Amino acid sequence: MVRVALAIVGYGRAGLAAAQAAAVSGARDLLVVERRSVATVTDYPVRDRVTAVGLLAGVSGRPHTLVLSSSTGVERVQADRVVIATGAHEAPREALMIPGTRPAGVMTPALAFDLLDAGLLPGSRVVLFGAGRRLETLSDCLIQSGARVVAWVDPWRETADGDRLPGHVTEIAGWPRVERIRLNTLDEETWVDADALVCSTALLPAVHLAKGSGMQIDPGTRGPVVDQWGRTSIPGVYAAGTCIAPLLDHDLSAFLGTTVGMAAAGQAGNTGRSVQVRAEGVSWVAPQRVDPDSEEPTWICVGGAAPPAFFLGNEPVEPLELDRVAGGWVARLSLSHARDNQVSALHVTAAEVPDAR
Amino acid sequence: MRRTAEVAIIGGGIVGCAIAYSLTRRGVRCVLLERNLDVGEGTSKANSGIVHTGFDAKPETLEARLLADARSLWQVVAEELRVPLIPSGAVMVARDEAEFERIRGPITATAAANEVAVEVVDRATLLESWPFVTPHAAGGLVVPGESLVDPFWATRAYAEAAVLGGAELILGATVVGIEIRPHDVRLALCQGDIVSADIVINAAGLWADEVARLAGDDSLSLTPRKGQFILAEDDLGIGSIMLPVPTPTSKGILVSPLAIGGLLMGPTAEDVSRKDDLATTADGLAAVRRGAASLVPAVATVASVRQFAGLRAVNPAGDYIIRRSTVSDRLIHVAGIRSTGVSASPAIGEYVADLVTAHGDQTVREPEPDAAPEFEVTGSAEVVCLCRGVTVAEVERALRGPIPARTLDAVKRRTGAMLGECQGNECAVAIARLIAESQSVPLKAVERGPIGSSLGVPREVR
Repeated sequence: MVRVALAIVGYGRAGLAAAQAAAVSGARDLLVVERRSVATVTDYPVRDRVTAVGLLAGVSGRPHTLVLSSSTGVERVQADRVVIATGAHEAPREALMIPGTRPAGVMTPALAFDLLDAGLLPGSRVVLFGAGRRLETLSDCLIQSGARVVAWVDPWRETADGDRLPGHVTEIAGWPRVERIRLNTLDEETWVDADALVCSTALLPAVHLAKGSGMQIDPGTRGPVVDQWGRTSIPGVYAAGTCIAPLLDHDLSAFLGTTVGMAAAGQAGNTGRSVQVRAEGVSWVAPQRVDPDSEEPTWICVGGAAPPAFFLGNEPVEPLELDRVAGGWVARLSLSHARDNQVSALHVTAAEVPDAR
Repeated sequence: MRRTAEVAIIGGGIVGCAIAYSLTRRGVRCVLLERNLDVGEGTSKANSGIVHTGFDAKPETLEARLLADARSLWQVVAEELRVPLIPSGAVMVARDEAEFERIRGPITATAAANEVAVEVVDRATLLESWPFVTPHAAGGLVVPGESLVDPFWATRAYAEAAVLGGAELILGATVVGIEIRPHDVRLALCQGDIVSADIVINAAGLWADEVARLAGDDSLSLTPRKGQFILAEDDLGIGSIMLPVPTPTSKGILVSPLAIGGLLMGPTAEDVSRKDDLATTADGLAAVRRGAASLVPAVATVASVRQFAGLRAVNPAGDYIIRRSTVSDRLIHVAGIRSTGVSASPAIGEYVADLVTAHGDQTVREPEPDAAPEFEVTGSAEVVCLCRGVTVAEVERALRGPIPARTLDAVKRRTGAMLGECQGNECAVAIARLIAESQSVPLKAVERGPIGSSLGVPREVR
């Protein structure tokens, strides 16, 4: 069985950054596995078109085992440390529980882009539901390909901006292909004729390989529970990128990959205690644990439309940065002033309702 | 094209497929006609997947009798067809004293009349053995004989065994005319083909009344009753079927593990006007959540991967209709199978085969030596469906099976691909390419399920 010091699963922006940070930090015996085809010239091996389908956690310091599946068969690789950087899938209409018929023509951007690549159109009159750069790119591609975007509703905005209206898709009609979509925009219900609906309002972390490993999964993010160094509940297994920060738009993946890659190479994140991060009145928060003794400011992602407020114990913490992105917020917090504070939790609340905690 | 057969079966749902299986085993040459592109596309694909003992069936009905026969037959059939039959057992949960009283009284009495073993358990025992049950429970009834089966797999397994035994399955074959003649029955199919048979079995599910009318028989009247379901990936550790205490009008909303993994909540019971009304509704889904959470509170917030609706065929008689047509002895109706088609299927198959073989003088042949050979998976282990870990080789096997998958839904039901969190959005095109290749058709011709459901539309200059 192949044995490596560090295995990185996924070679998107986070996986790439993690691999490079680990390599720069002096990690040897590095292996990257990636589902898609990639062409790359690196100092470390990148095995593409290989899917990690299982993770068997090593107990009491024994190496972890990754189960890899590819056209050549199924094999196992042992790794002392593992970084999961497998990204996320766009949540389909089923995850959003949009009622109605179940026709062809309802999809996420992933399927829409695959169809365009195959020379097909997702539809000729398309309703877009959601936000984010991928949906914006898709909109451009659809128009260039001769399709019409007949409506665009965005649950993450409060006011109209050109053709983009705040609102939701509330029902799907038509069979066997979509015929009409019901929208709720600015508290008005309307039916729109359309032959396709593309949903991109939320992401679902693609951490299927962790199923059955015992890794703790956060019910809010639906990704692994991590601290700011990407440490999961399994010692020696880390996670980085969109699979821990499932926001539609963020520029964190390279930063997270670097941070987690360094931690996995033993160059960061080995300090003291950790306190829980509690989501109170917000959809979710990541990381779910932070180290209050860290010199470095920590990143915090918060799901939901309401701006978040942060409290260490009862002390408010003013974020160094707070950016709104599609689906939530990205903050940078310095916890150092509370270093001597014997707090047990960092509370993240919706700013409008600070009493919620 | 013209075909002749001893028996033509209209409808490739679990009932029609089970009949084809039973008849083929007796050496009767069958043609099975299904208007969709795969078997099991109607009621058989949208149900709870429970092999029901019939403990609460109305005694003395044909339904109760066939459910009783099916209890022993299922063990044999599951082994022969190599279909996993999971002995999960069921637990009926009384949410208050009044419900517990009904369990101890009429429900236990009905189970005794149906000769189904049940056990009344008190509140303490119920909560100890099934700790996820609502703390408001007053007591329960354990039905150890209830089991789970994958209804897609069971339907297909009957049909595959029939095909391997010599039956002919024609997919995409809508019957548009029935002509009863002195020595046979002629069926006109939508593409202009003709099938002539000594006997025709009408197993058209919800449409059995319309098929009967094609022969001039107005004696059937079926109405659709919609059931909405919510499916979750996480089974929350629930290993048994959790049933509510039925009301006089409804069996109620249950919580059940699935044979293929995951958790199912539902169904609603809504009389609807259209036989193609498979839409879920916000109210219906909310009712499913509410009903399920009244049994198992934790399901109130469990993430759903899928919601769907099925239609079951209800007839005013309140029992199965399995009899000869009013216009000809050559036409046999198997209709009004309500919500127990999966459960009773092996017994329905045998019962109908008895009717058919009593009519003529067919010789009983020994069954085919290996009706359901196991197919080895060889080929590429490249994972095409990430959510479910389904490989290219597994998809290719589904494309080459005894009833080759022709649609994405058919691949889904044979492999489990596209059933995970992303619901196929990440892999549908890759799987459609494999289908297109296997059939030598362009990608745009691959249907998701029904005709007219291809994933994309061709680019046109507008």
